[in-house]
Amino acid sequence: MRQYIIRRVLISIGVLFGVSILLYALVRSMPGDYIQTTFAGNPNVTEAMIQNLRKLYGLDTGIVEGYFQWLGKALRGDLGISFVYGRPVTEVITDKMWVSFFLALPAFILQLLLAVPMGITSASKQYSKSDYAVTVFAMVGISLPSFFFAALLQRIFSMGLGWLPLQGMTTAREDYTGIRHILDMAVHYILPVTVLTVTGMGSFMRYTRTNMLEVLQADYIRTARAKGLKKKTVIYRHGFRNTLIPLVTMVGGMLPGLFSGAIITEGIFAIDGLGYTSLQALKQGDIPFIMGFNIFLAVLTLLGTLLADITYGLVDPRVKLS
Amino acid sequence: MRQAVMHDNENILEVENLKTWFYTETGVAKSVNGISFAVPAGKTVALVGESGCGKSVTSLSIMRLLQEPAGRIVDGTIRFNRPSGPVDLVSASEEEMEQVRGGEIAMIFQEPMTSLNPVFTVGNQIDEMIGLHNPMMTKTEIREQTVRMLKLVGIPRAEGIYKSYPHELSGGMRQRVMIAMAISCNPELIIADEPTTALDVTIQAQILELMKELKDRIGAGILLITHDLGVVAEMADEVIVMYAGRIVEKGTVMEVLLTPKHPYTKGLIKSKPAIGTVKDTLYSIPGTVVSPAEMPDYCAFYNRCGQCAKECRSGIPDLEPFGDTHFAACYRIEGGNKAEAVTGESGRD
Amino acid sequence: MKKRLLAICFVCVLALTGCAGKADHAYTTVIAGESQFNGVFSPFFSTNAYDKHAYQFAFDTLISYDSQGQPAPGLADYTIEEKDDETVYTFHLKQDVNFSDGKPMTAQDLLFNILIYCDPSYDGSSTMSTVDIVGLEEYKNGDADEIAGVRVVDDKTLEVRVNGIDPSAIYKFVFEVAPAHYYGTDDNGNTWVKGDLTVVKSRNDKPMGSGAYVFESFQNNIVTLRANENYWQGAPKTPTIKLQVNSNANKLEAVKQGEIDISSPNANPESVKMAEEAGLYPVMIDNPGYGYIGINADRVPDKNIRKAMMHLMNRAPAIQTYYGDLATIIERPMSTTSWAYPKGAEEFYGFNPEKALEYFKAAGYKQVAENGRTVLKKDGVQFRIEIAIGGEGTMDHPSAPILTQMKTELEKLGGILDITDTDSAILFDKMKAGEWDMFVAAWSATPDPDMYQLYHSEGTTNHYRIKNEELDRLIEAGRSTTDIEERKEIYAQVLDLIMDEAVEMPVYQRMNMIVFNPKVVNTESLIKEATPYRQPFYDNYFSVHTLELN
Repeated sequence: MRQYIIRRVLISIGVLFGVSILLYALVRSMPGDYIQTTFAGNPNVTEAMIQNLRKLYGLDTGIVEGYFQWLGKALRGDLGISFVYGRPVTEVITDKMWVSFFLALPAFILQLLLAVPMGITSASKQYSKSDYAVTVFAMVGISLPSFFFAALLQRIFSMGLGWLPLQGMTTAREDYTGIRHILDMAVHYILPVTVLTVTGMGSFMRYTRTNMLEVLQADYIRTARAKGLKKKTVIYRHGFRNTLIPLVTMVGGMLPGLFSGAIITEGIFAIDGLGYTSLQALKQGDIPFIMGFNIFLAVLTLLGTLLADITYGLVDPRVKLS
Repeated sequence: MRQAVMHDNENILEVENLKTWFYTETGVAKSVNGISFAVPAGKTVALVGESGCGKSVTSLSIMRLLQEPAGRIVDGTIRFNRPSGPVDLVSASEEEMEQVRGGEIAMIFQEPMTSLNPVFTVGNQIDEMIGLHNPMMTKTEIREQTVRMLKLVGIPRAEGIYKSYPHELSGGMRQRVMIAMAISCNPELIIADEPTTALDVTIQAQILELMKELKDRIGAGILLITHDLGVVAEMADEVIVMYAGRIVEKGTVMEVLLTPKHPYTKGLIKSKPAIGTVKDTLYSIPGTVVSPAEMPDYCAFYNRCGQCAKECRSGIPDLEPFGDTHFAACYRIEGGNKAEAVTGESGRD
Repeated sequence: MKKRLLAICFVCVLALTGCAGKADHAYTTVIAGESQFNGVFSPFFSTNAYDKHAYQFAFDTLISYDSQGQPAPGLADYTIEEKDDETVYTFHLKQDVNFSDGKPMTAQDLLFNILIYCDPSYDGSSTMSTVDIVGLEEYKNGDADEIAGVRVVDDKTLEVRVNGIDPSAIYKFVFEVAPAHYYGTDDNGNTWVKGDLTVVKSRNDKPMGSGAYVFESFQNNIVTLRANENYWQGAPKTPTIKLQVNSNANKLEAVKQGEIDISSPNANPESVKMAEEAGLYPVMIDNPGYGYIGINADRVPDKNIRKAMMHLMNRAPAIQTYYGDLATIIERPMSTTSWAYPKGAEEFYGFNPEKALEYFKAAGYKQVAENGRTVLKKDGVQFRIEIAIGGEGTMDHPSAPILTQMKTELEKLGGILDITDTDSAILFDKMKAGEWDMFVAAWSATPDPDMYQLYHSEGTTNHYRIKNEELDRLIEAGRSTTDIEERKEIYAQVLDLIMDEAVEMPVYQRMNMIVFNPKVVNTESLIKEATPYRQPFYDNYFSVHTLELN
């Protein structure tokens, strides 16, 4: 197992290199750069000033030279200073990723708690009314655009009934601290977590259902019934334990992604998470941040696949990782 | 479930006029269309026929493991001679069947590769079965019983195999495990659905040996489903030949194999290659089986029979006796009640 | 039992949220909604208008603007003297002012600010370093430790000498005065050196100045400012100001819900109506800037063709549809908020397809009949021209109908107009590179109307590629005198000339809106005559301490 992990980590490093090259080339080739978007609207800016700014921001080099400059610093852990935020990229990312994480985590847990049992029920009662109901619900969830659903929830629960705050992370008018502050934030998170849960639940449900259906067709299920086991035991012990394999693998793979942020939802609810932050940086051509953030995402993805594969090896006795 | 009365108390199982139909989008498939037979206690009855003739469906019907709502028993009774008194399985509830399955009627399936759950150890799976039907036993006792069973079916290093996963065993070993599982609760009846078909020939022989040995030891009745006449000859006491959902011939092994009456049975025997004979081409019965959704209301073998005549289309032939234990369903058999056999005339369209 | 516990929890939570909106007898906090914060709360380095809103209340400016955008005294009085090829600016701090940490403001602080803005490694958005201050060149590109032309005369007086005459220079001194002892030294005792502004940047997250409010924190997307009790103009009437991030879609709703008291939604007839219907207090302010349609004179060298295209533009209906009464059609390429805009300027090119045809003919084009259609041709080639608009793919732009009508009218005459609807970044990129024939864009206005960069043949942002000697001469004249009346006349001529060149058709001047919740904010305490330089609440020139809440 240890050898396997070491090998995978080495391969991941190689992948990261490739990704960083591709990223840098793409980002530098984008139309418009930071200097242009930020300063060119000001009619007083002279050409000399623009050239000087380009030099100060490191945008006067070619792509290859620029890449190696970036790489040199990155290998020492210095991802540069964000143009837009004026702070080290690593600082910005580590600050905001927790906000995104604590928004995504409850949604993730809720999704699983709701979706998996629904998927199992749906599969074991295929073609019944509950199956159709669950499937339709899943389809609606997947098809709902998050901004539409968010607006709907806001309209009903905030503007209409006045039960929940419209947006934001805390109540600005008060200066809550301690427990009240935590409760205040929790209340503010109810709507965005709901949006994330409902729009994400559908695919989990379908995944569970599909896997469960496949499992229930298997011969060993028939054997289990022939042994005289109750239907419930057959489904939940023999069937589910096998469905658990792809499920757990998928969940393990998704865990790192919880840090990367939900761009649209965070924007609508004015939550200071990594998603919205990175969108602003992207729109303004903030190269250090874009590079840093995307490498961060790449690391998360690679970590996710590694976790998924390790979990797979732990959960399925047929698989030996070597 | 309803109490029943066995016609012959020596029988462990009596199937009477069983009809199992499948309701599909393309029509009603009459997989089992009125069969009656019995399995005497302690004896091995072979159910023979080609693919699709309804023999597997028969076994699933007895175990009530059909895929509902598509597949249903529409008529007939299945009388099972339980120690506590004979009952009709067709009328049994799911809870009642759960008691019967495994503990009183055990089943061995065709595909050992996939019939065991890959995520539980072999020992665990057998333990589960034993524990289910013997709630009084302790964990240690169950474990000991499982190991005993594994040894009984000739598995070497039973303690080690107990902790293994199915994918770590060969096909033959897995089938032994299946057999161990089947006999672990001392069932009265074992249904073996093509137990050796998926195995190598050499392994087949081993498993057959094992089954013969166990048959004598455990005293359960066996309903052996197979398409292989060689296996029938080795293991069975009685033979039932099925075709297109109906029984076309039944009797003792000697009677049916040495003096077959039905043209289909004759064809089957003729098709089997025998060591020591020299042939240019292997014989096969011409034509194909009628689709279960398009069953005619006359003899289903009509379109392939070399001996049929006009009257064969008059209705479905019943089983006629040719002695105490030998029956065949054909209008054209010598010594039967119907017209004389005419050779040479082909009834094929 | 479990259900009861759940119900109690739920009620508690609801009560908390309910409490948040319930008014105490008096409001002590006012909340403004901003689109986003980058967190660079520094007068030196911020590039985002919303960051500026956040820090501006913590500072006072050296000099300021009056309501028309003309320079006016601030913390300091100033005099401008022209002598010996130089212009001398003398700034004199009017009174004793302390920063919010108690330390007094002196001319040394003023010097410090200028040194930072002119530092060779300064990468912020101030353009002070483009002013030809005496000795600046040696400071920026040479070894000089000081700028020769900037001198501390005494504790309260700073003198700045500029080569020649530059009427726009005075505007660069409208800056927030940052304390040298705070921005020049960081928490670890490091001081700044010329060429390395890391110490100054270390204060980006915690600004401090002499203003009416003290910047307390930025957390959970909320900036908190507390009243500076020792403010030199007297303690502010509102104890706490908070600015909260607020997405554009919800700007108006958030005020209606009472979560935010002040916000700036897009001004269009619908939103104004909604604000009024909800009992809110909207204030309309002219936007300092204007929208236009430009033509690249390099790619379309024949002035007749340019004039022809101008006559095919029908501006009024399009703007009326998009903005209703909230925008005005302007007739000269300058924002009406500028003092230099010629009042009563008349329409130069009316919508007139016949006149357009005349100009096409003057350019050598003839209308021929081909396959039953009219085709406008010259030397056998049909007239074809391209125009780019930043409608993000959906033609979502106030000027869009102008283009579609132009296209139809040109087709009637026999020509082809290709409309390219693209992303703004691409549009600007190609515009800078001079790759569009015609383009739709907008300018934001500066207080000083000098348009050297835009229309001079040497200008860096001369997207129209105008090269007109007379124009060059007039522009240079306009920036070599500080006499307002003289400049007004010159600029009137300049604007007429630009119109005659037919490289820019000014289209619209729109309005911005700030919405207040009159339940929370005492609207009597807000500025009455709102201009872009005198905005209610956001006015950062010495009036926020008078803001009162109910």
